[in-house]
Amino acid sequence: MFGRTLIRKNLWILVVILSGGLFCLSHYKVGSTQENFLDWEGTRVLHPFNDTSDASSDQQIIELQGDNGMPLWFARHFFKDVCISGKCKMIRLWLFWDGAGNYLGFQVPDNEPLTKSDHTIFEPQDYQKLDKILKDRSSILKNLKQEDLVIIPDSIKNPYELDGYTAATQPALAEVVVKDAVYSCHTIWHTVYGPTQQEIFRLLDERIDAVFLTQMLDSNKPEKIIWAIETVKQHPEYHETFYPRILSFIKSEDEIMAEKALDYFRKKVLKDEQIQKQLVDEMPFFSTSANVELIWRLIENGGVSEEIFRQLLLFVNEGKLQVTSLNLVYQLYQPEFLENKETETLLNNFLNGDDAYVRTLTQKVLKTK
Amino acid sequence: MKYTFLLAFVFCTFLLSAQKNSVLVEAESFSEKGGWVVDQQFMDLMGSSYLMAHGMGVPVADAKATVSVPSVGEYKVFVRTFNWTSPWYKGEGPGQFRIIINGNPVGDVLGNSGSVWIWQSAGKVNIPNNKVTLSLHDLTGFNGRVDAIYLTKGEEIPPSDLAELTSFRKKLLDMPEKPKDAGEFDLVVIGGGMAGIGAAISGARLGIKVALIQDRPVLGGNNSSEVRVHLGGRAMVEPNPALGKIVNEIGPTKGGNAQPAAYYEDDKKMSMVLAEENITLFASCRAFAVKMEGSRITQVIAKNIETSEELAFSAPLFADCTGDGTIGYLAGADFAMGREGRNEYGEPSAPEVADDLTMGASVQWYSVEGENASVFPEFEYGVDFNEENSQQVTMGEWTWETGMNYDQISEFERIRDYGLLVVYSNWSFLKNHSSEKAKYQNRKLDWVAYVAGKRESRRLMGDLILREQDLTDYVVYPDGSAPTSWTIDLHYPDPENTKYFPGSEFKSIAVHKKVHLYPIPYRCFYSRNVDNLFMAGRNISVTHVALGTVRVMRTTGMMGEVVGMAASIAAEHNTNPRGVYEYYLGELKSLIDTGVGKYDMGNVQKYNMGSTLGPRK
Repeated sequence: MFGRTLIRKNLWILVVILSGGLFCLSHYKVGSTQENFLDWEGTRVLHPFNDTSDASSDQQIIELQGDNGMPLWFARHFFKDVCISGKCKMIRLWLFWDGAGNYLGFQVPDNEPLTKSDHTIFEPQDYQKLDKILKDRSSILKNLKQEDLVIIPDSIKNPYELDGYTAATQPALAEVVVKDAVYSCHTIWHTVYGPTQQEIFRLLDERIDAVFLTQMLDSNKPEKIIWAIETVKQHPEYHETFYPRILSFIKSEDEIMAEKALDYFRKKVLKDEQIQKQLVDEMPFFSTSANVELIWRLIENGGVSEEIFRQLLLFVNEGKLQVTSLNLVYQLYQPEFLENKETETLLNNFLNGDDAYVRTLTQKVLKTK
Repeated sequence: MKYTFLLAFVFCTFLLSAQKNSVLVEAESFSEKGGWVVDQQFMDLMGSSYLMAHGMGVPVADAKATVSVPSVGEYKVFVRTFNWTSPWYKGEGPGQFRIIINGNPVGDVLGNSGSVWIWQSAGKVNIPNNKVTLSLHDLTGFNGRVDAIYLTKGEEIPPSDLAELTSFRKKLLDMPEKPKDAGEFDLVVIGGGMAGIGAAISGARLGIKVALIQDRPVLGGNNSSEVRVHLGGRAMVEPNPALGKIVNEIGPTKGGNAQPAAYYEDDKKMSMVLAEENITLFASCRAFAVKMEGSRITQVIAKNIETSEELAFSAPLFADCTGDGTIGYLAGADFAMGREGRNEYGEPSAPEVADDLTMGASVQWYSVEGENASVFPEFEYGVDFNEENSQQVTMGEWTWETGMNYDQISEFERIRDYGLLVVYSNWSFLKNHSSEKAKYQNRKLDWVAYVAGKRESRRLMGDLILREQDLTDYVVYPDGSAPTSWTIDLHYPDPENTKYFPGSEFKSIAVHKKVHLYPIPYRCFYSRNVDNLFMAGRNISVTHVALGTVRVMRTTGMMGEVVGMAASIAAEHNTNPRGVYEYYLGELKSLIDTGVGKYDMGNVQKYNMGSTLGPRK
C-alpha cells in the first residue's frame, strides 16, 4: 500500500526488484562494518540525484525498502578524487545511510582497497577506525579544510609544491584519522555528511504523513523513532496525534531515545497542564535522570499546579521518586499550595519523618518561602 | 633591643588610650549588609574580611550598623580601604563610597585613592549621643570596599602592620585572648568544597564525630552558586565504582558553568550535611592558625568572617580541604607551588626548567537580555578595549582565567580584581562604543563572580607524589583509590589574548592529554611530615602536571570520601593517616569497595564527564 502511494507521489522513481546482483555489487567487500548491507533483502528503489558537486560518482541514490515500504537503508556509489596538493587518486566505495539518513557503513571493492599516502593498503583495523570516524557526526574534521590537515615544514617554501607524503599530520588530528590517510578520511567524512545525506533527508521529508510517522514510530528501530520524534517536533500539526506515543518512549531503556523523547516536551508543549500531568503520572516508570530532567523543565517552565506538586510529593513519599530530587521539587513550591490539606499533611509528614535530609529541606522551604 | 622595647611601650600606650577614647567597627560585622557582600578571600593577608559593594555597575543599598561610643563629642573618622584599580590606573578609582554617620555624610568620597589597604581619614564628626548609626553609602556599584571604621578622640592613626593591626583589633573589639573552645572531634575538616563535604559526610556516616569548617555561608566551593563551576570527571567508575556515591547524592543534577544560581543546588549540599548527626558545621568560619605538638596538629583556630569570634577545634585528625593547603602550610607541611622542571620527576609535559607558572583563577560572568535598553557606565581603568581586542560575547566562563603569572595566594586579591576589571571594561566597551553595540543594547550584566574560582596554588607533599607517567603509563599502586578520569588538562594564557594583553592575559586555553581511569594512590592524601594531616582536593600530593587531571570536582569529591573512610579507620585503631596505609590498607580497600552511599540511586549527573579515555597501557 505504502509503496503504491510512493510511486503515485514520485513518478520519477524507478522501482526495481532485485533478486541478485543486478548492480554487480557482489565483488564489494565489507569495509569494517561487520555487515554486508548489499546482502540485505528488500525492494531497491532508485532515486535519480543530479549531484553537480560530484559528477564522477553515480547520479542516483538507491533505497532498500522493507515489505511495508519502510526504508532500510540508502546507498550511493562513489568514484571520486582524493587530492593532495594537486596530485589526485581515485577511490571507489559504497556509502550507506540508515532508514533515517544516519551514516550506516561503507563497502569498498575487493580489488580496489583504500590506500594510504605511502601506497600501502588499508588493514582491517584501518577500516574499523575509518568507520568510527565516519560515525562521529561532530568530528573535528567537520570544520577543517584540506589545507588544515597537515603541518607544512618550514623548509618547504612553496606549499603548492608540497609532497603531501612528507608533511606531518596536525597533532590534534592524529587520534581522529587513520594514520597516513588523513586526506582520505577528510574526503570520505565530508562525503558522508555532504549533499547526498541532504538529499536523503529531503526524500524522507517528502514522505511525511501520519501513516509514515506511525510506521517509523512502530519500527522498533531507535534511529527511526528518533527521526519521527524530531519530525513531529518540526511539524506541530502532528503533535496531538503523536505526543502520547512519544511520551511512552521516555520509558525506553535506550538512553538516547528516552532523552530525545523527553526533549520533545519543552516550552510550548510543556505549557499544557494536561501534558504536564501525564508526564508526572508516568514518572515512576522513567529513569532517575529523566525524572530529574523533567523536574528541571517544569521549574524552567514557570512552575506547576498544586495538584501536580502534590503528586510529586506523593511519589517522593511512596519512594517512587528519589528523595534526592526533593530539593528540586521544592523549587516548584508555592505557599498557597498549603491551602490543600493533603499537601499540608504530606509536608508535615516530611517534617516529622525519619530522613534527616528530608526534614532539613522541608523546614527550610517552609521557613523561607 | 632598647628600640624594640620602646616601640612596644608606645604601641601598648596607644592601645590603652585607644580603648578609652575610640571605637573600632569591623565593616563585615554591620548588622544590615544592604547590598554589600562579605569578602573573606584575603583574610590571611589582611587579617580580616571586608565589605564590598558588588553592584556590577549599579550602586548597592547602604550597609548599616548602630554602635556605642565611649563618650559624646568630636571624633576623627578613619576608614581602612583602598582604590582597587590602582595597579592598572593612576587616577581616581571606581570603587567610590561615603561614610554616613547619624544620617549625615562625613568627609570626602572614599575608595578612589590609595594603592594598598590603608587607614584613610574621613574627617571629623560631632557625636551627641552614645549610640551612633553608621552607614556605608555606595556611589558606583563598582566594588568599593571597607575593612573597618575607626572613630577616635585621639590623634593616632591605627596601625597598618599586620601583627600590630591584629593586636589592635583584638583589644579594640574586646576579644578574648584565647579562642573559644569549639569542642573535641574525631576529625576536623577544613574547607567545605566538594572534597571537604565528601570527607565530612564519609567520616560521619562511618561513625566518627566530624567538625566541618567552611569560610563561606554556603557549601560547595567552586561548585557553589558563588563561583558556578560545574562538576567534572566521572564518579562511580572502575576500578572503584563504589566511590562517588556521595558526589552523586549531593552534586548538582544540571551541568554548565556560569549558569543561574539554582543550577548549583546549594540547598541540597547544605541539607545533606546538616542531615548528618555526626557532623557539626561551622559555616562562615575561616581557619587561620594551628597549634602543634611536635609534628602533630592539636588544634585549628578559625575566625568567624562576620563577627571575628575565634574558635579552637581539637582533634587527633585533621583534613586540609582548603584548596590552598592553608592548614598544611600553617603546620609546616612540605609543599610545592608552580611547575616542576622536567628532570625533577622526568615528566614529558613538564617544562625544561622549573618556574612559578600556575593555572589561573576564573571570574565568570553572564548577561541577560532585558525587555528594554539598559545602560552600563563608562569603565576605563587601565585596560583599553577596542574593536580588535574586545570580546564580543554575552557571557564568560572558565576561559576567563587570570593570574597565571602571579602568586595565587599572596597576590590573589589583585588577581581577582583584574578579573573584575576586564569583565567591566570589556562590557563597557560593548555597551558604549562597539560598532556592534546595538546587539548589546538590551543586555545587562546579571551576574559576575566576586569569589574567584581558583585552580591551583599549594600542593602538599605526601608519602607518594603522583606524576604524569603514573597516569599515562597506568602505573597502578596497591593503595589506588579515587579514580581520576579527566584528561591531564593544563591551562595556559591564550596566545590570541597574549597578542593584545601581553603579560596581562585574562583568557586561557587548555591543553589535554588523555588518561585511562586511574586510581589515585591513598598516599597522596596525607602529609609526609605532618603526622595527622589528611588532604583532599586540589592541594593533594601531585606534580603540577598530574594536578591537571585530578583537580576536577567529581574526582576531588571522591578523594574526600576516601579521606573520610581512612579517618574512620585511624580513629578506630588510634593511628595516623600513614598508619592506615601501613597496617590497615585492607580495611580501607574494603570500605572503598563498599562505599558510603546512603540512597540507592542511579547516576543523576550525566554532564561534563570528560572526553574519551586514554589507553590502559
